[in-house]
Amino acid sequence: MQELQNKLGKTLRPFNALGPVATIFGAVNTGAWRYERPVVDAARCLRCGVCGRYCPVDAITVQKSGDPCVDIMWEFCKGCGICANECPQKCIIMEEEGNENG
Amino acid sequence: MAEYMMLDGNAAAVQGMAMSRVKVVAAYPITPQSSIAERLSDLVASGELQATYMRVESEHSALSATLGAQLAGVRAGTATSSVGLALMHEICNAASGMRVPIVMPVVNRALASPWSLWCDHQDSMAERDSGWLQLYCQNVQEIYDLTLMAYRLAEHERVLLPAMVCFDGFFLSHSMQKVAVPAQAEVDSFVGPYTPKNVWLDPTDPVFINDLITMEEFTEMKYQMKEGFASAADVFNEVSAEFAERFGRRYCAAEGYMTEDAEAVIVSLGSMSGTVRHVVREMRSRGEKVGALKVTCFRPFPQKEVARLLAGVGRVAVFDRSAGLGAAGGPLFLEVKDALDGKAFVKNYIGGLGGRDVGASTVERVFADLRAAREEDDRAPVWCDVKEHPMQIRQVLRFV
Amino acid sequence: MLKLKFFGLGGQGIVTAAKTLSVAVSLGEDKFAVTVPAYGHERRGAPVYTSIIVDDEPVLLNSFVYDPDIVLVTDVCIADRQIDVGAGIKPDSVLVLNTDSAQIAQHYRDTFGFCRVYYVDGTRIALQCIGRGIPNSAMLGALCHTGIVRIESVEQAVLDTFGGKAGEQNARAAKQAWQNTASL
Repeated sequence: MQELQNKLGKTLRPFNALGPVATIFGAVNTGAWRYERPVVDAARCLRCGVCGRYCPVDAITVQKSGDPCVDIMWEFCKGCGICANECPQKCIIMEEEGNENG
Repeated sequence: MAEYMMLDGNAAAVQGMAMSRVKVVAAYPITPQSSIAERLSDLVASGELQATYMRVESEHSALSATLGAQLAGVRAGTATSSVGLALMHEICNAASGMRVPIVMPVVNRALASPWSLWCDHQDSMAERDSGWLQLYCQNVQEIYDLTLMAYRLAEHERVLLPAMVCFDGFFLSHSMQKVAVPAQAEVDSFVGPYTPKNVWLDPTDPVFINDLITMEEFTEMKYQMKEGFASAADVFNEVSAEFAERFGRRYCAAEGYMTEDAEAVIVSLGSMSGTVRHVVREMRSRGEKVGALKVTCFRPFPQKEVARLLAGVGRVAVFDRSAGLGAAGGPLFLEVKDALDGKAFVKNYIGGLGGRDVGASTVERVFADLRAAREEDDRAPVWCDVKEHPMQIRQVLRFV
Repeated sequence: MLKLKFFGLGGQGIVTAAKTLSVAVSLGEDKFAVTVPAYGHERRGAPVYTSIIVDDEPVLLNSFVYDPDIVLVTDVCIADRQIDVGAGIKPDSVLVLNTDSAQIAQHYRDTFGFCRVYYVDGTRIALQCIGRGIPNSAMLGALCHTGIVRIESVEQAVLDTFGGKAGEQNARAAKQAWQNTASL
């Protein structure tokens, strides 16, 4: 809260920065890079959590109860396929992006 | 009030960094720097230095971690030598381009190959275009003093460039000398706390530092660095004037010793500058009109000061403690020759490589050669301490 | 200006002795001293040498000593290893030698041409005072006879450099050696 107050107390002023710095983020999230996406067979999923531990961008949350069993942040999933590779049940398959199941 | 401490060069560098209150240290050991990394580690462990010590796996990581830490808003420190500095090369250029004012002691040691542990300026000379300020120390007192000054110089808002404080391996790093060390309060008052002045990492106000820069803007950013170097020349004088007022010792970017009416002068960097002065004093007592010029600030190079101090000197020897291979001469020679612009007879002497001692006799020989040289002689650099039969020193037996 | 050269074997504390002398002379007596050690591939038993330059004014010279005024040798067997401890000495150069034998001292004087030799069995005194045969502090006590530094300054420097019990033991070794130094 203090930080917000500190920030509000300051005025935004133009400043000539030296060297390479960017403050406007025009890029899309990395989920846009995806050509295929992981599809989880919820019926066979054990909610063991392995896929979540292996995801290199930490985009997977495995829920112990409730739906979905495997919750994926689609803004950041790049479709690398590691979760499908590591799943001990082999219940994740990679499907081409744009398929209606996605 | 200053107290005297007996410190070797490495201990003096640590003393300067610790009293300037670095908050993060990421140093990788390498001979002859190792006792810097070790001593900083001891100070952090005992709590005398309130800092985080990061153990890193290489010098590339050491400078990367230091760069990241300083971007996060604290004074961060590291130190290195020789091939360690070479391994940092990529990040050296990154740090200067990002305008991060890291101060780093560099203990001058030869670059391999040949593999050497000993004093040579090749390592820091290989970084002379990296965008770092470079200061060279003549003795251990200078190591301490120039470290404090380096923080002020590098962090100045008109400069904002990282700085190397260079000093000779073993001849200074391991030489115990008497050093006047001011009280912590006086150092605090001179160096001051670290305030990032350009851009820094703030999770509440995120920026992307070191984004991809196209040909649309690259030149302008390099131009900004050039302006930083131009300012550094003036800021050096301002900072050293303040240092002199507070602590009683005056430093110049280039300093003459008995050059006013000298007929022959030797220009040098580092610890051998003291030896040259010693010889000059003795030769003067014999009536010989000789002088010495010490360059303290190599980057930015003090062209005007060098030209002014050597005005009227007929013969100038420039002693390079790095080989300067493939060039018209060593790096110091090229700068001095350009600064003098044809106004003196300038000759390059290469010596003291790989730890070879530059003693009084070597200096005397250089003066003798300089005075005997004729204008029409070959101007190639003189390897003044090379042994006889240099092409035959390694005769081995092999099967043919 | 006085130039010194210390010769010893790795492990005999030559470099520490040089540093301690520096402290004694610089902080104890308001003079200036610089040490210029030589490092190579370090190992116990290898010949080691170091240079020290002492002056009343700040020392400018920063190279090895080639023409010592005072030479200190902590092990008589060094001369057997083709190390010329007399290299570059002048007619008035003196030697401080770790031995109890007047014969050996005389031999060194004749062979190398020192004008004076101060000698004491630093190793035995070290064993008695410290329990280890590291003769560096003892030999610094003997060095005081050359007039380069007072024994009180050496004792204080030894106390400061080693600290604690080791400091006291080494300081005692220095004093005892100083009291028992003979000369030729």
